[in-house]
Parts: sequence; structure tokens; C-alpha cells
Amino acid sequence: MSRLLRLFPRTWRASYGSEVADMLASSGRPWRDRADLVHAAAAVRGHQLVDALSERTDATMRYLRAAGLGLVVLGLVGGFWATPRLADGIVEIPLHWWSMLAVLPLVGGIVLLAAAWWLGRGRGGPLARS
Amino acid sequence: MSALSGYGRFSEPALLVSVSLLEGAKHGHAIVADVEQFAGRRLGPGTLYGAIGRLERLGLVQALPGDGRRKPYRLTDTGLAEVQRVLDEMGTLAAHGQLRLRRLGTAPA
Repeated sequence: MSRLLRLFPRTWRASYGSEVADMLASSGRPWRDRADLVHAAAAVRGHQLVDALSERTDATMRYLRAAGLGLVVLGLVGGFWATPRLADGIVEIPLHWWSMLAVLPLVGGIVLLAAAWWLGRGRGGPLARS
Repeated sequence: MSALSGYGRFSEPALLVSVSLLEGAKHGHAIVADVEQFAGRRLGPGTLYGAIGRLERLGLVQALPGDGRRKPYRLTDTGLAEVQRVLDEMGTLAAHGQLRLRRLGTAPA
């Protein structure tokens, strides 16, 4: 089976993997079909993510919360690292703009946690109770 | 939004696959050959099975028992109704477009 098939979710591979492999094996234009597979895998993954978010399963919420918390921690570490370099306040930012980049994960993490909270409303889950 | 229009990248291939299956159950190779014949478009394996996957998830297409590597698919009753609805919509749109084109052709320059 083509290694490219690993780009697809496991359940998708179980359903269509052998048929796609069969089609690839007899393809008269293998490179175009491989490129088509990569494109389709990205689309299938994208649909999967959108479906997961819209279904708001517990696993999706856990993933969002974990990713959000991870980014917040990373941003806080970046903040501690950047603070001494910006000792004179925001006037230092133009000189040390890369220090601010270290804090950006904090913003991303807060956005993810807010999304997890918003999507979790009314589900009766832990986020809805908190 | 109709079921068939909700696929993003797979909406057009899904319609091509559905129209191909109007003739009866077919496996992937047969669908590709048929679509190439009536639409002049060759579907790659990723596009084809991406569309089939979405159609199956929406209950518009159903896999029939096959030999694993060549599994036939067929339209469900819901799928048949959905294709009929989409084709009716497209027919109405095409009729309006043709009418306006004719008017454009008879309008003074």
C-alpha cells in the first residue's frame, strides 16, 4: 500500500485504502495521481477537523484545552524570557521585536481556550460547569 | 444548503460520481471511466474516494459487498432524491442563463 495513504485518517484507509492502492497500481499517470492523493488527504483532514469541531465531542474539547494550555505555558515561558530584554518597557519593542514573538503563543493559547469554552457551552461538560 | 453542495472541494466530483451511479452500481475504476466518457474529466483516486467518502457519510451512497479491491457503490434512495433535486436546480439555472443569453443576442448593439 502506498505510503501516501498514511496521510489519510485510519478509518478512511480502512474503508478505501485497498481500492485507492489498486487504482494507483494501475495508474497511467502515477505522479498526477499521487499529487491528487496529497491534495485529497489535506481536504479530508480539513473536513475531519471541521466535523470534529462541529460535533464538539469530549475528545475534541480535551484536545483544544490541552493545546490551549500548552500554548499558554509556552507563552508564559517566552514572557519570562522576554521581560528582562524589555526592561525599559514597550519602547524597547522595536529593538527586541523577536522577544514579543515569544509571547505570541500566549495569545494563541488564550484564543484556543476561549474557543474550547465557547464550543463547550451547553454541553454539560466540565467546561460548561466551570 | 443541499447535501451535495456541502463538500467544498468535493462538491463537483460528488455530483459527477452521483450522476455516474444513476446508471447502476459501479466500482471506482468504472466510475472513473464513465465520468471521463460523459464529462471529459478524469478523477484522480484521492478526489474520487474523497467524494465517495463524503457521499457515504451523508447516506447518499452505499458500498455493496465486493472483493475488497473492487467494491461497487450504489446510490441510496436519499442519494437518488438529492441528485434529482440538484439536477433540477441546475436545469432551472441553465434555462434562465440560456434565456438571458438569447436576449443578449437579440439586443441592439
